[in-house]
Amino acid sequence: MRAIYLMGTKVYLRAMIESDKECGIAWFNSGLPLSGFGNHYPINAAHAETVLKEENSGAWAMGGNRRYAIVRNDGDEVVGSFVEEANYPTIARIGLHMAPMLADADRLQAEALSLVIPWLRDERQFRLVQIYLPADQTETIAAAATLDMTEVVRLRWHVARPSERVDLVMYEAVNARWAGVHA
Amino acid sequence: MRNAMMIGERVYLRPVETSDAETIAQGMHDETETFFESGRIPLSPIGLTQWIEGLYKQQPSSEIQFAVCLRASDEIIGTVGVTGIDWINRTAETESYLSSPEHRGKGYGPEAKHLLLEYCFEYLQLEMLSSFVWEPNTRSAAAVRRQGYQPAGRIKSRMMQDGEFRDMLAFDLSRDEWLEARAKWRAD
Repeated sequence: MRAIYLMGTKVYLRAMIESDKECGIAWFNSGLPLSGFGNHYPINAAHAETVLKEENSGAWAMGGNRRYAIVRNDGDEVVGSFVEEANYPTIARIGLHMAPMLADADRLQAEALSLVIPWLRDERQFRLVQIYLPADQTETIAAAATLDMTEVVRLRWHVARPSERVDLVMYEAVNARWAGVHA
Repeated sequence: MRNAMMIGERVYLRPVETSDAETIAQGMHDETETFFESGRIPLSPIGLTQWIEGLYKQQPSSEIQFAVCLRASDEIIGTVGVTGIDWINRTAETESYLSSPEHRGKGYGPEAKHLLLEYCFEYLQLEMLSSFVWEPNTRSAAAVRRQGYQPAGRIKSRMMQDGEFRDMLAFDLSRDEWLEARAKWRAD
């Protein structure tokens, strides 16, 4: 199952499916799915199944978060997830999470962002698309700039890394059709 | 004082109780200001009771709320708390609300907030805090600046005022910045 309008050269996006319970580590992010912080805890198949059922308790997941799998084209390996907050009709708050221990996580995440932003801003015409990214995810941040996203908030030292703390940065994509109504 | 956790000169912080729901709801019904991002909304004590119950179901929680009480009378005059606590990165977002308009402008709010910040930095050992203020709420923006918060940017908001979308102002705060601000607040 692939969304034909969310296909990249390295990854594609699709809805979550039941067999994703077997690779919860790759797509689950604990606690704060929009934080950009990623996952730090183990999740087994049984709990992953519970999460999948809770997150998909209705067809539209309205009032909650809608999660999609990021899947590698070559081999259909789930390498991460993309979460869209479904609370506000005109603003898409999103989060990206990549599987731990992936050597090319930042590169794959950058492509996932490049698939998601045009879909949300230009096709579905959200007024705003907003995402938090740790400042050391340089390839994803470069992709954000290419997508005409701008840095709007920089929370200093908000992300703990093994030997340092790095900033957490919010990037925002503004739909030009709405630009005139902003103060 | 009842079940006090952080004690100041005139106010103290205690765990918020389900029995506080009615008082908090009444404060929202008495609200005189309109500059909140979601506007004035008279919330139900039924929902507030469930919110309070939920605060204690998970330990450690991602949200901690305190009732702000007057030492002289034990009266609850508002709440202060932290949400989105990230125990790995040791960050959280602070919030405060004095639900009794007659108690505003008397210095209770800053005293309660400094007790909360002391709790966050000294007890929870959080590294960085953030706060978000809707732009029209100039009073809160000025307050967080006095508490040491530094401007971190602005986010376009979902809410309008007078026909225009207004921004959310972002702030962040380190322990050292808070200590400096508290020393200045005490000296004043």
